[in-house]
Amino acid sequence: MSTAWTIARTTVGDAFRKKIIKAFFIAALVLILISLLFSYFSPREELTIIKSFSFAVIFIFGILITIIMSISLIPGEIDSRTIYTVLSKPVRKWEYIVGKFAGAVLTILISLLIMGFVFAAIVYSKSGAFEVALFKGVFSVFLSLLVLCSISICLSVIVSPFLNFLLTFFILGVGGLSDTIYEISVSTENALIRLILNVVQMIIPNFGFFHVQNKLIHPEAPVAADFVEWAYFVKITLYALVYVVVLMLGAVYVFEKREV
Amino acid sequence: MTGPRRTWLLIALVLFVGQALLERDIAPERAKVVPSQLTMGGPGFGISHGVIWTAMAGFREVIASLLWVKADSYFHRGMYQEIVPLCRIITWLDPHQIDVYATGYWHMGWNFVDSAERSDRRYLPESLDFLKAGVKNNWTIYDLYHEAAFTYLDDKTRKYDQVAQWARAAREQGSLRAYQHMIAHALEHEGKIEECIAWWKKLLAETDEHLAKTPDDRAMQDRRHTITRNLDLTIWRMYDREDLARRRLDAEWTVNYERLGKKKFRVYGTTKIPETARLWLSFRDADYVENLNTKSFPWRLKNASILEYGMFVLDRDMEWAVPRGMTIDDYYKARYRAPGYLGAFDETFDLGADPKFYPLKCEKGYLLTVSFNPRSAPIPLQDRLGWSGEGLDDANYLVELDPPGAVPLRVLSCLFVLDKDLNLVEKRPRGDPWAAMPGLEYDLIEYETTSGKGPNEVVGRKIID
Repeated sequence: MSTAWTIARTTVGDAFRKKIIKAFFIAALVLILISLLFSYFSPREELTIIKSFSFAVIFIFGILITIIMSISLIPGEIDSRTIYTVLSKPVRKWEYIVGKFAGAVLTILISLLIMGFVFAAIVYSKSGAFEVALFKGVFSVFLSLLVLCSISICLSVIVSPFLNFLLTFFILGVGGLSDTIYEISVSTENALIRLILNVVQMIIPNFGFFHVQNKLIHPEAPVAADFVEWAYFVKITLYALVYVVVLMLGAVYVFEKREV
Repeated sequence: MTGPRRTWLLIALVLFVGQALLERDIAPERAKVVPSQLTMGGPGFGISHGVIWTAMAGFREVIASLLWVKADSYFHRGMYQEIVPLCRIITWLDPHQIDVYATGYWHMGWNFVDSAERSDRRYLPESLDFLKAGVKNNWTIYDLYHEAAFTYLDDKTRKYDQVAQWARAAREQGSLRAYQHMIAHALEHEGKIEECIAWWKKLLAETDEHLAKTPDDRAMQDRRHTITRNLDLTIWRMYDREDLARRRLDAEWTVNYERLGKKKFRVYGTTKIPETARLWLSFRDADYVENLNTKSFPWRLKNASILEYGMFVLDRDMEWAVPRGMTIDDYYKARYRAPGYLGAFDETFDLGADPKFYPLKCEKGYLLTVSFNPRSAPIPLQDRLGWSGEGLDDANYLVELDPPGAVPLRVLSCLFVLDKDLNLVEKRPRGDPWAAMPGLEYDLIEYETTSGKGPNEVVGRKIID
């Protein structure tokens, strides 16, 4: 495991050295700070706009950082032949995959934490209260990016980077419509459509489960209280981890068989 | 396939089945809070959530916020009409944007006027419907209850029996202390004076209890002063107005209708009621209430005509000037006690100037009601006429109303039945007295005080029998 950890640390360093990742990260921080411009609204409106805008920025740029980083993590090293140097050492292929994945996750986590603290600081400057609950929203974004990262890395050992990019976004899009798909599946009378939608729901991760920001944006709203309670977070964390494990097992399986 | 790989495959398969089971547990919980389960408010907005969610899975709140920023820019540019559909979309995306409900309903109900700067009443039912949708989606937040109470108190609807209910609901949800004075004012407007006094005393007791713990609270001291003053004044007025029934003022009201053109008419008359009284004119399609209950808002916007306007009673010379150094109270006493005093009102309405506001397409004709309700009269006037018209009399136009569960009321009313070309068909003194208590045609609401529930609706009631 120390080998995987070493690879992870190296991956984090490499990721933050990449210009595009730095650019996305800085852009995200700037956009979060831009939400301060909406100061001409009433205090409640202002906070609503800041929170909804910041959550969206964290999510969007988190997706961009995750996908751009993940699709080239392994194929990039294969193309540049640096992977041979790594694998010529006593590094098992599964350690390599796990290490790369762990490095990507750490990169995402560090990025989200920094964005989250900036976000919380802005909210504090407006409301006078440091809302720890906002980090629940950041954590739910992290979970969705965790799943996304595992999808991307799994696909990266199977298909080309371009196809990986398209497929990952496709899965993200369909997975984000999970609530709508569920609604249609329970309301339709067509058995075939219901079957197809159920299969789609079971296979594709439901990213809608990680959308909890409404209650955090409107803490006084009388609905959706359950979705920021720890019991719900335990469930969705478990859900995310299952996908991660399944996809990483798949990635390791394919990579083990593959001639590099 | 080697041993370890087979094991991995098996583990992956088991976990995959496990997540499917976990998913079936989580998905129904989420279905309880997707916005389609919450009311969107109002008819005629039947776009499926699936359409918008397809475009914005996961980004409802930020889209709603950015649309609100856009709506704000429309407001500052004077593009009020464009704000209305935006408010609907925003609250449909995110039903918990309180300020959007509060501002949107206000735009619809207050900010649209015709070329003569008369309020556009066409949006009022939708405005209230939008506000109530906000209450239903955010029933634990007092703000919108308070807005509803204010709306019904305002001259726009003058539905005083609803005010106390909504203000009480706001109190139950923890409204600011100052807002709770509205309950007492509402009870006074309903003519329930003893209940009003009891409520002021209750608020006084709560304030004293608070001051006993925090005697240096300046805001609470000011509040106590306000409550004490209002309580004393109400009690004083109650005794001062006790004998009004024995010395009624004969309004000697005359009211006339004159058709001036294809879409133009004049309403004029005289009365002994003192100046600053407002006579409420209501002009609407003969089937307006029926269409309110059966036709969609877009249809009504194009085809229904309604005008409501408060005409001021002025001096016969149509001038209004309180002499320097005289209070309004003294002016009243000098004016309406002076021999030969006669107030007058005279208004011309050119509906042809705003064909979009007043399409005048009703084949069944129109109903024009002119009425006077002492409950909406200013205090100096009520000192003479009473809260419920106890001091009011008239040989031809007086009607005694006895609404269920409310204090009896004496109003003046006259109905003019017009044909589709605005020609006078019939003048009915005392006709359409319920027009003196407007708002009944918009909706009736029964509020349930059970916690966790919002108001129920009883929509619509005919006011013309």
